[in-house]
Amino acid sequence: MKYLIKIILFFAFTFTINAQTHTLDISDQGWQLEDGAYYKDQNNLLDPFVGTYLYTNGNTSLKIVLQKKTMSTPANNRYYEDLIIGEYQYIKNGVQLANTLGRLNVNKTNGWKYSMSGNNIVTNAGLCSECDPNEKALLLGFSDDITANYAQTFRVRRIIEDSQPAIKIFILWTFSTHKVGTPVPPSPNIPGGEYILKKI
Amino acid sequence: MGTRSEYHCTNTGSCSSGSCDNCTQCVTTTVVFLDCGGSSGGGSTGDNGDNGDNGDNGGGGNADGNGEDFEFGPILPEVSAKPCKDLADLGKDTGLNLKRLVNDELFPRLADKVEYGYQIEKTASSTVYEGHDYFESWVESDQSNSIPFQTGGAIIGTIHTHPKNITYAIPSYGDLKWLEIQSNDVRPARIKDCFIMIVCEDKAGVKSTYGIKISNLSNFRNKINALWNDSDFSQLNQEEKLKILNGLQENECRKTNGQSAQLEKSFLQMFVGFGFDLLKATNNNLDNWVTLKLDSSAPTGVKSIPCN
Repeated sequence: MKYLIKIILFFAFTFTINAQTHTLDISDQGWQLEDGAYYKDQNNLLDPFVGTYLYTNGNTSLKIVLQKKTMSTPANNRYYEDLIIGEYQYIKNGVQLANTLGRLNVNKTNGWKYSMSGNNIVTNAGLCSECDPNEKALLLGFSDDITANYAQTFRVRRIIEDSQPAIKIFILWTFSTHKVGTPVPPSPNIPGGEYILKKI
Repeated sequence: MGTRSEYHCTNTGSCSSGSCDNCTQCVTTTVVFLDCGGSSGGGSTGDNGDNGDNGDNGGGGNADGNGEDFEFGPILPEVSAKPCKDLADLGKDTGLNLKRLVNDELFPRLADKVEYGYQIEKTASSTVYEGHDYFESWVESDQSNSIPFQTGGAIIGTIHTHPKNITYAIPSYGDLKWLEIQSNDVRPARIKDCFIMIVCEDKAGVKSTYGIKISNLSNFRNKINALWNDSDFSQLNQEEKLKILNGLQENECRKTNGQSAQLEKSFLQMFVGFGFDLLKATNNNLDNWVTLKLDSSAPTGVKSIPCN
């Protein structure tokens, strides 16, 4: 009986969503998003970025876990979108400075609540000048709420490194702001720049 | 102008002016004139329509000419009546060498994969009566390659790079948000001096210097804050809001060819009616600027209006 109720609720929920939304592709997103739109990853361009990746350099390491989240929605449920979300662990000289990986165990309806989130596929013709002509890279947002910083650019490219699948990321932190006479805000834990992380 | 609270004792329990604390002490608030310094004020200066504005927020001058009327809520501090000319004059007879800062220091660093920037300060002159001194200071990046800009105090503006091929070659919402914070942190009389400049290079290799100045303070604050408080972003913290707003702007920039003409049009369309002027330097001396405005009859959709 419980099983039957679950099935009915599932179909009722699906019907309700479909009745209220119209489906567009993630590439249709712009500055303003449409009421009731579901920006779906219709061509499955986000899937290849999913994985666990690791950068190591001596006692310093950066681990990033990227997952695909479907039908993320803001608190007002005005629209839906498929996203890549991610969390990370950063260890510098053997000291762990940040570890947010556990947040992925919590299912948040709004994917922008995770440290890394986004669905902007870019090419050489767009915002990835260093991309190969047929390459599709991913722009994510990266907010560091431990130090209250965010990245102006967080670009993810899929590459092969030492015959292994890997990602090459680039982080550009934007300037921070503080009022004259107040302390300089803390720096992001991860230095900006380029990192190559092998898929594990 | 400001207010001063004066406390005095009474045994009657009431005051004819001021409010009583229901005990034996009354508080009387009086308006006092404070010497706030600053440049000459007075007069309404509402602008005449920028990005769709109606220029209705001029004013803020007061009897003593310091332009700091915070006693009367609805009257906002004045903004610049001539934002374009202000930037054109910033490097003239001020001691600031904008040409050097931009051409010799920032343009050559556009290929670096980090931001660089300067802060500009304006202080009362130590030598010239009613004059001002201007200073630039290089802002060192920290260990994460992030530069810590300040707001308030004597600071009137910042200049920073948007690295080539790393981010879009046009100002960002985050840049506008800095200017909004600055407009709250700086003395009201200084708001008309405030600006933010972006130095960048587009996909075609064309280097540009953009400036933004507030032309309608109420519109500017209302629009920036309306977006900030939009229900789409409720339950997001400050960094998460900036992250998603940056992502939305990247969505729009992705649809352009990455060249300045399309980026300018896209930017103006995104922020139409936001109460600021988008300005662009037209020479390497940075003493000649134009105001960029949407114009459907222009070939690029944007027309350049020289400074008056």
